[in-house]
Amino acid sequence: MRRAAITNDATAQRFLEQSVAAFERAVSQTCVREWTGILAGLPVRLRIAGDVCYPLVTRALAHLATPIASSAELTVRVWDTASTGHEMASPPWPREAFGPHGLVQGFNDTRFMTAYDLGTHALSLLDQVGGQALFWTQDATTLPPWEHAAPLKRILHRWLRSRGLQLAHAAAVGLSSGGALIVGKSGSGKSTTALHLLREGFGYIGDDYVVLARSPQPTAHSLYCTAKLHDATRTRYPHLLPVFDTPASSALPKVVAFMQADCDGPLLGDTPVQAVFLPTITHSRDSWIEPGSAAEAVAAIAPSTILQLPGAGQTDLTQLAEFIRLTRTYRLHLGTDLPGVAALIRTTLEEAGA
Amino acid sequence: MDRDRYRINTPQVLHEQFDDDVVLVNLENGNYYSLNASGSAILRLLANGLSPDSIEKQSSAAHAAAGSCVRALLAELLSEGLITPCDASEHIEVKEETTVAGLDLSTPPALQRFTDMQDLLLLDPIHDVDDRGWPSAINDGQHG
Repeated sequence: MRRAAITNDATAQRFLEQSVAAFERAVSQTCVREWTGILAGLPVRLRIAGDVCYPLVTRALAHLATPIASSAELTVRVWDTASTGHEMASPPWPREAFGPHGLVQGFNDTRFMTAYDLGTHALSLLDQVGGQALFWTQDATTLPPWEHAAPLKRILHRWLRSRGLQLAHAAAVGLSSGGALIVGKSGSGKSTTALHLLREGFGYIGDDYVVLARSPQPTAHSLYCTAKLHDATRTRYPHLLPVFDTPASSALPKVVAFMQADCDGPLLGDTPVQAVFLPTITHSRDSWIEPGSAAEAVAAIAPSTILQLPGAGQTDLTQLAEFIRLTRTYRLHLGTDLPGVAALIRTTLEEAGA
Repeated sequence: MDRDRYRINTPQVLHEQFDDDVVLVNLENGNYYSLNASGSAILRLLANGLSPDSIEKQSSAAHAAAGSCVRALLAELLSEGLITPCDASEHIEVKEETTVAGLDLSTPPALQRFTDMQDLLLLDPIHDVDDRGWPSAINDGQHG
Protein backbone atom coordinates (compact mmCIF):
# COMPACT_ATOMS: atom_id res chain seq x y z
CA MET A 1 0.00 0.00 0.00
CA ARG A 2 1.32 3.45 -0.85
CA ARG A 3 -0.92 5.28 1.58
CA ALA A 4 -1.09 5.22 5.30
CA ALA A 5 -3.52 6.91 7.61
CA ILE A 6 -1.87 9.06 10.18
CA THR A 7 -2.26 7.64 13.64
CA ASN A 8 -1.27 10.59 15.75
CA ASP A 9 -1.39 14.14 14.43
CA ALA A 10 0.17 15.44 17.64
CA THR A 11 3.22 13.23 17.13
CA ALA A 12 3.68 14.52 13.60
CA GLN A 13 3.30 18.10 14.82
CA ARG A 14 5.88 17.53 17.56
CA PHE A 15 8.35 16.00 15.10
CA LEU A 16 7.94 18.99 12.81
CA GLU A 17 8.68 21.36 15.67
CA GLN A 18 11.74 19.33 16.68
CA SER A 19 12.95 19.36 13.06
CA VAL A 20 12.54 23.13 12.79
CA ALA A 21 14.42 23.54 16.06
CA ALA A 22 17.23 21.37 14.68
CA PHE A 23 17.35 23.58 11.59
CA GLU A 24 17.53 26.74 13.70
CA ARG A 25 20.42 25.26 15.70
CA ALA A 26 22.22 24.50 12.45
CA VAL A 27 21.82 28.04 11.08
CA SER A 28 22.87 29.57 14.37
CA GLN A 29 26.30 28.01 13.85
CA THR A 30 26.60 28.71 10.13
CA CYS A 31 24.35 31.15 8.27
CA VAL A 32 20.97 31.20 6.64
CA ARG A 33 20.51 32.19 3.02
CA GLU A 34 17.07 33.18 1.85
CA TRP A 35 15.58 32.66 -1.60
CA THR A 36 12.17 33.93 -2.68
CA GLY A 37 10.28 33.36 -5.86
CA ILE A 38 6.91 32.82 -7.50
CA LEU A 39 6.08 29.19 -8.27
CA ALA A 40 2.99 28.70 -10.44
CA GLY A 41 1.75 32.07 -9.26
CA LEU A 42 2.34 31.38 -5.57
CA PRO A 43 4.94 33.12 -3.37
CA VAL A 44 7.48 30.75 -1.87
CA ARG A 45 10.38 31.31 0.50
CA LEU A 46 13.35 29.01 0.97
CA ARG A 47 15.50 29.28 4.08
CA ILE A 48 18.72 27.40 3.43
CA ALA A 49 21.40 26.61 5.98
CA GLY A 50 24.92 27.35 4.85
CA ASP A 51 26.49 27.79 1.44
CA VAL A 52 26.67 24.15 0.40
CA CYS A 53 22.95 23.49 -0.01
CA TYR A 54 22.07 26.85 -1.57
CA PRO A 55 23.22 26.27 -5.17
CA LEU A 56 22.05 22.66 -5.15
CA VAL A 57 18.49 23.72 -4.41
CA THR A 58 18.19 27.09 -6.13
CA ARG A 59 19.99 26.67 -9.44
CA ALA A 60 17.07 24.91 -11.13
CA LEU A 61 14.68 27.54 -9.75
CA ALA A 62 16.82 30.54 -10.70
CA HIS A 63 14.45 31.78 -13.42
CA LEU A 64 11.61 32.06 -10.88
CA ALA A 65 13.54 34.03 -8.28
CA THR A 66 12.03 37.39 -7.40
CA PRO A 67 11.36 39.43 -4.27
CA ILE A 68 7.89 38.70 -2.92
CA ALA A 69 5.74 41.53 -1.67
CA SER A 70 3.42 39.44 0.48
CA SER A 71 4.22 36.74 2.97
CA ALA A 72 5.11 33.40 1.49
CA GLU A 73 2.39 30.77 1.18
CA LEU A 74 5.04 28.12 1.67
CA THR A 75 8.32 28.35 3.58
CA VAL A 76 10.77 25.51 3.05
CA ARG A 77 13.75 25.00 5.33
CA VAL A 78 16.67 23.21 3.69
CA TRP A 79 19.78 21.85 5.31
CA ASP A 80 22.12 18.92 5.67
CA THR A 81 24.10 17.49 8.53
CA ALA A 82 27.45 17.09 6.77
CA SER A 83 28.00 20.77 5.97
CA THR A 84 26.45 22.25 9.13
CA GLY A 85 27.67 19.69 11.63
CA HIS A 86 24.25 19.52 13.24
CA GLU A 87 22.18 16.40 13.64
CA MET A 88 18.55 16.10 12.64
CA ALA A 89 15.97 15.27 15.30
CA SER A 90 15.49 11.55 15.72
CA PRO A 91 12.47 10.15 13.92
CA PRO A 92 9.54 9.20 16.17
CA TRP A 93 8.72 6.19 13.99
CA PRO A 94 10.29 2.72 14.03
CA ARG A 95 12.57 1.33 11.36
CA GLU A 96 9.67 -0.56 9.79
CA ALA A 97 7.87 2.72 9.07
CA PHE A 98 10.33 3.58 6.27
CA GLY A 99 7.86 2.24 3.77
CA PRO A 100 7.99 1.45 0.10
CA HIS A 101 8.37 4.30 -2.37
CA GLY A 102 9.56 6.70 0.28
CA LEU A 103 6.43 7.22 2.33
CA VAL A 104 6.86 7.05 6.09
CA GLN A 105 4.02 4.87 7.25
CA GLY A 106 1.67 6.54 9.70
CA PHE A 107 2.85 10.10 9.03
CA ASN A 108 0.89 10.98 5.92
CA ASP A 109 -2.59 12.41 5.73
CA THR A 110 -4.29 15.47 4.27
CA ARG A 111 -2.21 17.75 6.50
CA PHE A 112 1.22 16.12 6.72
CA MET A 113 3.41 14.55 4.07
CA THR A 114 6.47 12.68 5.28
CA ALA A 115 8.73 10.92 2.80
CA TYR A 116 12.25 9.58 3.19
CA ASP A 117 14.05 8.60 0.02
CA LEU A 118 16.28 5.64 0.79
CA GLY A 119 18.21 6.17 -2.43
CA THR A 120 19.26 9.74 -1.73
CA HIS A 121 18.80 9.75 2.06
CA ALA A 122 16.65 12.83 1.99
CA LEU A 123 13.67 13.64 4.19
CA SER A 124 10.81 15.69 2.75
CA LEU A 125 8.33 16.98 5.32
CA LEU A 126 5.30 19.16 4.56
CA ASP A 127 2.69 20.69 6.84
CA GLN A 128 -0.17 21.89 4.63
CA VAL A 129 -1.90 23.75 7.44
CA GLY A 130 1.15 25.64 8.63
CA GLY A 131 2.42 26.36 5.11
CA GLN A 132 5.85 25.08 6.00
CA ALA A 133 8.11 22.32 4.84
CA LEU A 134 11.53 20.93 5.56
CA PHE A 135 14.04 19.17 3.33
CA TRP A 136 16.94 17.56 5.12
CA THR A 137 19.60 15.21 3.88
CA GLN A 138 22.58 13.65 5.53
CA ASP A 139 25.08 15.00 2.98
CA ALA A 140 23.87 17.38 0.26
CA THR A 141 27.02 16.90 -1.81
CA THR A 142 26.00 13.30 -2.49
CA LEU A 143 22.62 14.23 -3.96
CA PRO A 144 22.50 12.86 -7.52
CA PRO A 145 22.10 15.08 -10.60
CA TRP A 146 18.38 14.37 -10.92
CA GLU A 147 17.83 15.95 -7.51
CA HIS A 148 19.67 19.05 -8.71
CA ALA A 149 17.50 19.02 -11.82
CA ALA A 150 14.23 18.83 -9.85
CA PRO A 151 14.85 19.99 -6.27
CA LEU A 152 12.12 19.73 -3.61
CA LYS A 153 9.97 17.77 -6.07
CA ARG A 154 8.15 15.69 -3.47
CA ILE A 155 7.26 18.68 -1.29
CA LEU A 156 6.17 20.86 -4.19
CA HIS A 157 4.07 18.10 -5.70
CA ARG A 158 1.95 17.65 -2.59
CA TRP A 159 1.73 21.35 -1.80
CA LEU A 160 0.72 22.34 -5.34
CA ARG A 161 -1.75 19.47 -5.61
CA SER A 162 -3.67 20.71 -2.61
CA ARG A 163 -4.14 23.98 -4.50
CA GLY A 164 -5.48 22.29 -7.61
CA LEU A 165 -2.16 22.53 -9.41
CA GLN A 166 -0.60 19.38 -10.78
CA LEU A 167 3.07 18.55 -11.10
CA ALA A 168 3.38 16.58 -14.31
CA HIS A 169 6.14 14.60 -15.98
CA ALA A 170 6.07 16.41 -19.31
CA ALA A 171 7.83 18.99 -21.43
CA ALA A 172 6.23 22.25 -22.50
CA VAL A 173 7.13 25.02 -24.91
CA GLY A 174 5.28 28.17 -25.88
CA LEU A 175 4.71 30.72 -28.60
CA SER A 176 2.71 33.91 -28.47
CA SER A 177 -0.11 31.97 -30.11
CA GLY A 178 -0.12 29.33 -27.38
CA GLY A 179 1.79 26.44 -26.00
CA ALA A 180 2.39 22.74 -26.49
CA LEU A 181 2.55 20.08 -23.83
CA ILE A 182 4.74 17.18 -24.91
CA VAL A 183 4.20 13.90 -23.10
CA GLY A 184 5.72 10.47 -23.37
CA LYS A 185 7.91 7.99 -21.66
CA SER A 186 11.68 8.07 -21.77
CA GLY A 187 12.93 7.50 -25.31
CA SER A 188 9.70 8.60 -26.99
CA GLY A 189 11.27 11.77 -28.33
CA LYS A 190 9.85 14.13 -25.70
CA SER A 191 13.11 15.93 -24.95
CA THR A 192 14.25 15.77 -28.55
CA THR A 193 11.08 17.54 -29.63
CA ALA A 194 11.18 20.15 -26.89
CA LEU A 195 14.83 21.04 -27.42
CA HIS A 196 14.42 21.19 -31.16
CA LEU A 197 11.50 23.57 -30.78
CA LEU A 198 13.64 25.86 -28.61
CA ARG A 199 16.06 26.20 -31.49
CA GLU A 200 13.15 27.14 -33.72
CA GLY A 201 12.02 30.09 -31.64
CA PHE A 202 9.70 28.50 -29.11
CA GLY A 203 10.00 29.61 -25.48
CA TYR A 204 11.00 27.17 -22.76
CA ILE A 205 8.60 26.13 -20.00
CA GLY A 206 10.07 22.82 -18.94
CA ASP A 207 11.74 19.67 -20.18
CA ASP A 208 10.99 17.08 -17.54
CA TYR A 209 8.49 18.51 -15.05
CA VAL A 210 5.96 21.30 -15.41
CA VAL A 211 3.02 22.47 -13.31
CA LEU A 212 -0.42 22.28 -14.89
CA ALA A 213 -3.33 24.54 -14.01
CA ARG A 214 -6.84 23.97 -15.35
CA SER A 215 -8.36 27.37 -14.69
CA PRO A 216 -8.98 30.00 -15.86
CA GLN A 217 -7.58 28.21 -18.91
CA PRO A 218 -5.32 25.19 -19.30
CA THR A 219 -1.86 26.52 -18.54
CA ALA A 220 1.61 25.06 -18.13
CA HIS A 221 3.79 26.80 -15.55
CA SER A 222 7.54 26.53 -15.57
CA LEU A 223 9.11 25.04 -12.45
CA TYR A 224 12.66 23.90 -13.21
CA CYS A 225 14.97 25.48 -15.80
CA THR A 226 16.69 22.20 -16.51
CA ALA A 227 16.83 19.63 -19.26
CA LYS A 228 17.77 15.99 -18.86
CA LEU A 229 19.40 14.52 -21.93
CA HIS A 230 20.84 11.18 -22.83
CA ASP A 231 24.56 11.45 -23.25
CA ALA A 232 24.33 10.62 -26.95
CA THR A 233 21.80 13.38 -27.55
CA ARG A 234 23.98 16.22 -26.35
CA THR A 235 25.99 16.36 -29.57
CA ARG A 236 22.78 17.30 -31.37
CA TYR A 237 22.46 20.43 -29.25
CA PRO A 238 25.92 22.00 -29.14
CA HIS A 239 24.39 25.34 -28.11
CA LEU A 240 23.48 23.73 -24.79
CA LEU A 241 26.93 22.40 -24.02
CA PRO A 242 28.15 25.43 -22.08
CA VAL A 243 25.52 24.81 -19.43
CA PHE A 244 25.92 21.08 -19.04
CA ASP A 245 26.78 20.04 -15.53
CA THR A 246 29.24 17.57 -16.99
CA PRO A 247 31.60 16.71 -14.13
CA ALA A 248 28.85 15.54 -11.80
CA SER A 249 26.87 13.58 -14.31
CA SER A 250 29.11 12.32 -17.07
CA ALA A 251 29.11 8.76 -15.73
CA LEU A 252 25.32 8.63 -15.77
CA PRO A 253 23.05 7.85 -18.72
CA LYS A 254 21.49 11.31 -18.53
CA VAL A 255 23.14 14.65 -18.15
CA VAL A 256 21.58 17.75 -16.71
CA ALA A 257 21.59 21.05 -18.55
CA PHE A 258 20.65 24.27 -16.82
CA MET A 259 18.85 26.47 -19.28
CA GLN A 260 19.88 30.09 -19.48
CA ALA A 261 17.86 32.78 -21.14
CA ASP A 262 20.84 34.36 -22.85
CA CYS A 263 21.88 31.28 -24.80
CA ASP A 264 18.81 29.02 -24.97
CA GLY A 265 16.06 31.39 -26.05
CA PRO A 266 13.31 32.81 -23.88
CA LEU A 267 12.48 31.14 -20.59
CA LEU A 268 8.76 31.60 -20.11
CA GLY A 269 6.97 31.60 -16.77
CA ASP A 270 3.86 30.02 -18.20
CA THR A 271 1.96 29.42 -21.40
CA PRO A 272 -1.66 28.59 -22.23
CA VAL A 273 -1.69 25.03 -23.53
CA GLN A 274 -3.47 24.69 -26.88
CA ALA A 275 -2.52 21.11 -27.60
CA VAL A 276 -0.91 17.99 -26.22
CA PHE A 277 1.55 16.10 -28.41
CA LEU A 278 2.51 12.45 -28.05
CA PRO A 279 5.78 11.96 -29.94
CA THR A 280 6.98 8.65 -31.32
CA ILE A 281 10.19 8.24 -33.26
CA THR A 282 9.79 6.82 -36.74
CA HIS A 283 12.32 5.93 -39.41
CA SER A 284 10.60 8.04 -42.04
CA ARG A 285 12.14 11.24 -43.32
CA ASP A 286 9.04 13.34 -42.87
CA SER A 287 7.11 13.95 -39.70
CA TRP A 288 3.34 13.98 -39.50
CA ILE A 289 0.59 14.65 -37.04
CA GLU A 290 -2.79 12.99 -36.55
CA PRO A 291 -5.49 13.42 -33.91
CA GLY A 292 -5.14 11.31 -30.78
CA SER A 293 -7.45 10.65 -27.85
CA ALA A 294 -7.52 12.05 -24.36
CA ALA A 295 -7.11 8.52 -23.01
CA GLU A 296 -3.88 8.10 -24.97
CA ALA A 297 -2.53 11.34 -23.57
CA VAL A 298 -3.43 10.38 -20.02
CA ALA A 299 -1.81 6.96 -20.47
CA ALA A 300 1.32 8.78 -21.65
CA ILE A 301 1.53 11.34 -18.87
CA ALA A 302 -0.08 9.83 -15.78
CA PRO A 303 1.86 6.62 -14.98
CA SER A 304 5.30 8.21 -15.22
CA THR A 305 4.12 11.17 -13.15
CA ILE A 306 2.38 9.17 -10.47
CA LEU A 307 4.88 6.35 -10.10
CA GLN A 308 7.75 8.78 -9.48
CA LEU A 309 6.07 10.75 -6.72
CA PRO A 310 5.47 9.28 -3.26
CA GLY A 311 1.86 9.54 -2.22
CA ALA A 312 0.60 10.27 -5.71
CA GLY A 313 -2.69 8.58 -6.48
CA GLN A 314 -6.23 8.98 -7.74
CA THR A 315 -6.28 12.76 -7.20
CA ASP A 316 -3.28 13.14 -9.49
CA LEU A 317 -4.81 10.93 -12.17
CA THR A 318 -8.09 12.83 -12.02
CA GLN A 319 -6.40 16.24 -12.17
CA LEU A 320 -4.25 15.17 -15.11
CA ALA A 321 -7.28 13.77 -16.94
CA GLU A 322 -9.29 16.93 -16.35
CA PHE A 323 -6.46 19.01 -17.76
CA ILE A 324 -6.08 16.80 -20.83
CA ARG A 325 -9.83 16.95 -21.54
CA LEU A 326 -9.55 20.74 -21.83
CA THR A 327 -7.05 20.49 -24.69
CA ARG A 328 -6.66 18.65 -27.98
CA THR A 329 -4.38 15.66 -28.31
CA TYR A 330 -2.25 14.84 -31.33
CA ARG A 331 0.08 11.97 -32.15
CA LEU A 332 3.36 13.36 -33.41
CA HIS A 333 5.27 10.93 -35.63
CA LEU A 334 8.84 12.21 -35.60
CA GLY A 335 10.78 11.79 -38.81
CA THR A 336 14.47 12.29 -39.32
CA ASP A 337 13.89 15.73 -40.85
CA LEU A 338 13.49 17.60 -37.59
CA PRO A 339 13.18 21.11 -39.07
CA GLY A 340 9.78 20.13 -40.43
CA VAL A 341 8.51 19.41 -36.92
CA ALA A 342 8.49 23.04 -35.81
CA ALA A 343 6.35 24.08 -38.77
CA LEU A 344 3.94 21.23 -38.11
CA ILE A 345 3.52 22.20 -34.48
CA ARG A 346 3.15 25.89 -35.25
CA THR A 347 0.37 25.13 -37.70
CA THR A 348 -1.34 22.73 -35.31
CA LEU A 349 -1.21 25.21 -32.44
CA GLU A 350 -2.70 27.92 -34.63
CA GLU A 351 -5.52 25.60 -35.69
CA ALA A 352 -6.14 24.40 -32.16
CA GLY A 353 -6.32 27.95 -30.88
CA ALA A 354 -8.55 29.22 -33.66
CA MET B 1 -17.32 -13.06 0.43
CA ASP B 2 -19.81 -12.45 -2.31
CA ARG B 3 -17.78 -13.91 -5.14
CA ASP B 4 -20.19 -12.64 -7.73
CA ARG B 5 -19.82 -8.94 -7.09
CA TYR B 6 -16.68 -6.96 -7.77
CA ARG B 7 -15.21 -3.53 -7.29
CA ILE B 8 -12.18 -1.72 -8.63
CA ASN B 9 -9.26 -2.57 -6.40
CA THR B 10 -8.81 0.89 -4.87
CA PRO B 11 -6.72 2.54 -3.55
CA GLN B 12 -3.85 0.65 -5.17
CA VAL B 13 -5.59 0.74 -8.54
CA LEU B 14 -6.34 4.13 -10.07
CA HIS B 15 -8.79 4.51 -12.89
CA GLU B 16 -10.13 7.19 -15.15
CA GLN B 17 -13.08 6.76 -17.46
CA PHE B 18 -13.16 8.39 -20.89
CA ASP B 19 -15.87 8.22 -23.54
CA ASP B 20 -14.62 5.00 -25.06
CA ASP B 21 -11.72 3.96 -22.88
CA VAL B 22 -10.62 3.43 -19.35
CA VAL B 23 -7.06 4.05 -18.20
CA LEU B 24 -6.00 2.09 -15.12
CA VAL B 25 -2.77 2.27 -13.12
CA ASN B 26 -1.72 -0.43 -10.67
CA LEU B 27 0.44 1.18 -7.99
CA GLU B 28 1.44 -2.22 -6.63
CA ASN B 29 3.41 -3.34 -9.68
CA GLY B 30 3.75 -0.21 -11.83
CA ASN B 31 1.72 -1.62 -14.71
CA TYR B 32 -0.84 0.51 -16.48
CA TYR B 33 -3.68 -0.48 -18.76
CA SER B 34 -6.01 0.70 -21.44
CA LEU B 35 -9.42 -0.90 -21.85
CA ASN B 36 -11.38 -0.54 -25.09
CA ALA B 37 -15.00 0.60 -25.39
CA SER B 38 -16.71 -2.76 -24.78
CA GLY B 39 -14.35 -3.61 -21.96
CA SER B 40 -14.90 -0.19 -20.40
CA ALA B 41 -18.66 -0.73 -20.56
CA ILE B 42 -18.40 -4.10 -18.81
CA LEU B 43 -16.07 -2.72 -16.16
CA ARG B 44 -18.52 0.10 -15.50
CA LEU B 45 -21.38 -2.38 -15.09
CA LEU B 46 -19.30 -4.50 -12.69
CA ALA B 47 -18.20 -1.47 -10.69
CA ASN B 48 -21.81 -0.30 -10.48
CA GLY B 49 -22.82 -3.52 -8.75
CA LEU B 50 -24.01 -5.86 -11.50
CA SER B 51 -22.82 -9.43 -11.22
CA PRO B 52 -21.19 -11.12 -14.21
CA ASP B 53 -24.21 -13.47 -14.38
CA SER B 54 -26.58 -10.53 -14.63
CA ILE B 55 -24.58 -8.93 -17.40
CA GLU B 56 -24.42 -12.22 -19.25
CA LYS B 57 -28.13 -12.97 -18.92
CA GLN B 58 -29.27 -9.50 -19.85
CA SER B 59 -27.03 -9.22 -22.89
CA SER B 60 -27.02 -12.79 -24.26
CA ALA B 61 -30.09 -12.20 -26.40
CA ALA B 62 -28.31 -9.47 -28.31
CA HIS B 63 -24.85 -11.00 -28.14
CA ALA B 64 -24.43 -14.75 -28.30
CA ALA B 65 -20.84 -14.48 -27.10
CA ALA B 66 -21.66 -12.23 -24.16
CA GLY B 67 -20.94 -14.90 -21.58
CA SER B 68 -17.48 -15.74 -22.84
CA CYS B 69 -16.64 -12.05 -23.31
CA VAL B 70 -17.61 -11.16 -19.77
CA ARG B 71 -15.93 -14.20 -18.17
CA ALA B 72 -12.71 -13.72 -20.13
CA LEU B 73 -12.46 -10.06 -19.19
CA LEU B 74 -13.36 -10.79 -15.59
CA ALA B 75 -10.57 -13.37 -15.34
CA GLU B 76 -8.08 -10.94 -16.84
CA LEU B 77 -9.06 -8.06 -14.56
CA LEU B 78 -8.80 -10.33 -11.54
CA SER B 79 -5.49 -11.76 -12.66
CA GLU B 80 -4.03 -8.27 -13.02
CA GLY B 81 -5.36 -7.26 -9.61
CA LEU B 82 -7.47 -4.50 -11.11
CA ILE B 83 -10.73 -5.63 -9.51
CA THR B 84 -11.42 -7.58 -6.38
CA PRO B 85 -14.42 -9.52 -5.06
CA CYS B 86 -16.59 -7.50 -2.73
CA ASP B 87 -16.51 -8.41 0.93
CA ALA B 88 -19.64 -10.00 2.32
CA SER B 89 -19.98 -7.06 4.66
CA GLU B 90 -20.02 -4.52 1.82
CA HIS B 91 -23.44 -3.15 1.02
CA ILE B 92 -23.94 -3.53 -2.68
CA GLU B 93 -26.58 -1.40 -4.25
CA VAL B 94 -27.00 -1.58 -7.98
CA LYS B 95 -27.33 1.94 -9.24
CA GLU B 96 -30.69 2.56 -10.90
CA GLU B 97 -29.22 3.72 -14.14
CA THR B 98 -27.05 0.61 -14.44
CA THR B 99 -28.30 -1.34 -17.43
CA VAL B 100 -26.79 -3.42 -20.17
CA ALA B 101 -28.91 -1.57 -22.74
CA GLY B 102 -26.56 -0.21 -25.34
CA LEU B 103 -23.76 -2.63 -24.47
CA ASP B 104 -22.02 -3.23 -27.78
CA LEU B 105 -19.90 -6.36 -27.87
CA SER B 106 -19.38 -6.41 -31.62
CA THR B 107 -15.75 -5.67 -30.78
CA PRO B 108 -14.67 -7.99 -27.95
CA PRO B 109 -13.26 -6.47 -24.79
CA ALA B 110 -9.52 -5.90 -24.97
CA LEU B 111 -7.25 -5.04 -22.06
CA GLN B 112 -3.87 -3.66 -23.10
CA ARG B 113 -1.16 -3.96 -20.50
CA PHE B 114 1.95 -1.74 -20.40
CA THR B 115 4.88 -2.78 -18.24
CA ASP B 116 7.46 -0.18 -19.24
CA MET B 117 7.07 1.83 -16.04
CA GLN B 118 7.80 -1.05 -13.68
CA ASP B 119 11.37 0.12 -13.14
CA LEU B 120 10.04 3.24 -11.45
CA LEU B 121 8.94 0.94 -8.66
CA LEU B 122 12.29 -0.68 -7.95
CA LEU B 123 12.48 -2.14 -4.51
CA ASP B 124 13.79 0.33 -2.03
CA PRO B 125 17.39 -0.39 -1.04
CA ILE B 126 17.93 -2.66 1.93
CA HIS B 127 18.87 -0.43 4.80
CA ASP B 128 19.75 -0.34 8.43
CA VAL B 129 19.21 2.54 10.80
CA ASP B 130 21.84 4.33 12.86
CA ASP B 131 21.58 4.94 16.58
CA ARG B 132 19.55 8.08 15.95
CA GLY B 133 16.99 6.16 13.93
CA TRP B 134 17.89 7.36 10.43
CA PRO B 135 18.78 4.90 7.67
CA SER B 136 22.47 4.34 7.20
CA ALA B 137 23.95 5.98 4.14
CA ILE B 138 24.37 3.54 1.31
CA ASN B 139 25.66 4.93 -1.94
CA ASP B 140 23.47 3.16 -4.41
CA GLY B 141 22.20 4.42 -7.72
CA GLN B 142 18.76 3.05 -8.07
CA HIS B 143 16.77 6.22 -8.41
CA GLY B 144 16.27 8.69 -11.14
